[in-house]
Amino acid sequence: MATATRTLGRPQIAPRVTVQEPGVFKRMWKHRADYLYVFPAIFAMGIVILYPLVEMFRLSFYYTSPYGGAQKFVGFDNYAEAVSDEHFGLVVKNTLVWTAASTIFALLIGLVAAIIVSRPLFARGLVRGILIIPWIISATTAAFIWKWMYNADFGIISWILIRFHLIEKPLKFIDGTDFVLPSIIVANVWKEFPFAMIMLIAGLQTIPEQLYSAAKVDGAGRWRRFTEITLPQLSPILLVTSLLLVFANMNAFTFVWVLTGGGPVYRSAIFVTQVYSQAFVGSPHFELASAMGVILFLILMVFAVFYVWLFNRQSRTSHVVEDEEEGGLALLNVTNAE
Amino acid sequence: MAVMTEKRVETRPIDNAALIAQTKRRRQFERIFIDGILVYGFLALLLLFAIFPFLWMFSTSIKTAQESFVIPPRWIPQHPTLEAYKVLYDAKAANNNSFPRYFLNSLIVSISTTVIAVAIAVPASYAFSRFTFPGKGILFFSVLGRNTFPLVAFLVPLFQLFAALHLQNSYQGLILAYMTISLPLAVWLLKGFFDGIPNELEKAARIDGCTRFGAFVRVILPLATPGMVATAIYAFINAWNEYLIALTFTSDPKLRTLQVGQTFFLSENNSNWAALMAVSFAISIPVVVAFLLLQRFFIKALTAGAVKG
Repeated sequence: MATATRTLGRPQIAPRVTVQEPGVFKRMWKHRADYLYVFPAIFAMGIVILYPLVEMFRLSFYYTSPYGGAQKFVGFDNYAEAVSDEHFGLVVKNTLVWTAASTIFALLIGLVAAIIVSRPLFARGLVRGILIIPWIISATTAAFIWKWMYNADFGIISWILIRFHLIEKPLKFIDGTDFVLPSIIVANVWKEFPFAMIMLIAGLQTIPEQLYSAAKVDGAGRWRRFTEITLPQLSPILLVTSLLLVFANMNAFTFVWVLTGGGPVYRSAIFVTQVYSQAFVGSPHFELASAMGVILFLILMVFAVFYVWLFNRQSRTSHVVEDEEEGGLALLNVTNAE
Repeated sequence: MAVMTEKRVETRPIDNAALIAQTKRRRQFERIFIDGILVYGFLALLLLFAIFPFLWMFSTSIKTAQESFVIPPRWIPQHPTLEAYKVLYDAKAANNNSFPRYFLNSLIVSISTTVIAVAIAVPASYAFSRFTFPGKGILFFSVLGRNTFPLVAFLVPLFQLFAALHLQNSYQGLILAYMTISLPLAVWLLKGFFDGIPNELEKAARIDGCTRFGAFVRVILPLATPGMVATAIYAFINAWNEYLIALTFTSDPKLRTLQVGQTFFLSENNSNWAALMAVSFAISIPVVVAFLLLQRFFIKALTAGAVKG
C-alpha cells in the first residue's frame, strides 16, 4: 500500500530548490526587517548551542591538563584514550541494552495502553491523566521513588516478591551487579511508556473508522483487523515514536545518575553518565569528555539523519504525517531529552 | 484494503441457523471476554503500574522515620503523621537543607527562564510562521535540532565559558543555560499557534493602515495569548524538572534548585526516606497540577507535528 501511494504521490511534489537564485544578498537586504524578529533567539542559541558545539570539537583534539595550563594539539590521541578505557566496552554494551530494551518495552506497553484508553471507558479522561503522570514528574523524583522501592533491605518490591514466595530474602536490585541494568530499565519504562501512549493515541485517532467497518463486513476478526489495519496504519508513527525514544534514552542522564550513579562497578554506566564522570567527577578530564561527547554526537547525528530522511519520506507517502519537514524536527522537542 | 478483499471468507452457509448461533456465541464470548475481562484487566494492571510508585511515595511520607524501616514494610502506616513534612520548613530537621530556599531558587529560575524564553520566542516563531527570508530553513533547523545533541557533551564548553564570564553560581548563568532547553521548545510550540491563526487577519489590518509590526502586535498577539500561556506553562514544567544543568552550574548550596537540593535530603548517615518522599511529594504537586490543568492542550501540542488532527 505504501509503495502504491508513493508512486502516486511523487509527481505532485514540487522540485526542491537547492541552487540559490542569483541575488541572495539582495533578497536578504530586502528581508532585513525579518531578521530582527529572529535575531534574539538566534543570538541566544549561538551562545548556548553553536559555541559549545564548536568548542567541544576543538577540545577533543587538544590535551588539557586537569590543573590548568597550556593546551596542546594532540590529534586523535584523546579519542584513542577514551576508546581504550578498560570500561569502554561495557559502557557501550550497557548503552545499547539500555536504549534498545527501554525503547521496545516503552513502545509495547504504550501501544497496549493507547489501544485500551482509545476505547470508550469509564472515566476515560481521568484514566489517561493518571497514566501520563509518571512522564510528567521530574526524573529526579522518579529516580528517588524507584531507588526507595528497590532498597536492598526495606524495598517494597523485594517484600512483594517474598509475599508471593517468589524469592526467599530481599534482592539487591540496584545495589548488586546482577540485576542493576534490568532494574533501571523497568523503572525507565515506567517513566516513559506514557510518552509512547500519547503519541499512539493520536496515531490511532487518524485511522479512518471506515477501514474497520469495511473489514468487519468482509468478516475479518479482531486479530486480523489489528494486524492488517491498526498496525500498518500506525507504522509511521510507531517508527517516529521509537526514534524519539531512542534519542531520549541515549540522553537519559538524570534518571540513571540519581538512581545508580552508573554503578555498581560500571554495571549501569551508560555513555552520557561516563561523559559526565570524566568531566566533573574526580580530576576533570575535559578532553576525554569532549572526545566521548563528539562520538556520542556523531552517533546521534546518524539517528537524526535517518529520522529526518524517514520523516520526509513519510510526508510524501502518508496522509498521516504533516507535509512539512520541520514538523519532524519539531517533535524532537517533546521527549524531555537532555 | 486490497488484501482484505482477496482473502475474503467464503460465506455461503448451508446451515444458516447453526452459523447464526455460532456467530452469536462468538460475539457474546468476545463481548464478555475481550471487552470486559481483558480490557479492564489490562487497564487495572496499567493503572497499578503507573500509580503504585506514587502511592508508595505518599505512604512512606506519612510514616515516622522509624516506621519506614519496619520489616516487612507496612502498606498503610499504623500511626499516620506529618512529621516527615517538617523538613519542608525546618532546616534543622533536614541536615541544614533549606527547602524554602530551594523552592524560591527553583521558582526564580523557572519563571525567569519561562518569561525570557517566551519573550524571545514570540517574534522569532512569528517570523518562522509568516515570513520567507533567505536562510529561514537553516535557522529554524538549527533551533529545533538541539534535542538531537547530547546536552551532557555541551556542559564542558559551557562550564569553561561560564567560569570565564563568572556566571557560575548565579541565577543569570542558570537561566542562560536553561535557554538550551526552553527556547527551542517555545519556538516550536508558538510557531504551531501562529500557523493556526489565519493570514487574512494581518492583511485586513494592513489594509486598515497598520504597519506590519503593528498588525503583529495589535492583531496577532492578542489572538495568540492562550497559546503563549500554554507554552509558558509547558516551558515552566521543563525548567522546574531540570536537574543536569543545575547540578553542573551551582555548587553553592544557597543557589541549589529543588531538583538538585532534593538529593541532599538523604545524607549518607541519616537515610531519612520518609523525609525524602515528603520532599518528592511536595515537588511533584506543582507540575502535576499544572499538567492536569492543561492536559487537553498538552496532548494536542505534543502530537501536533506527528499527526494531523
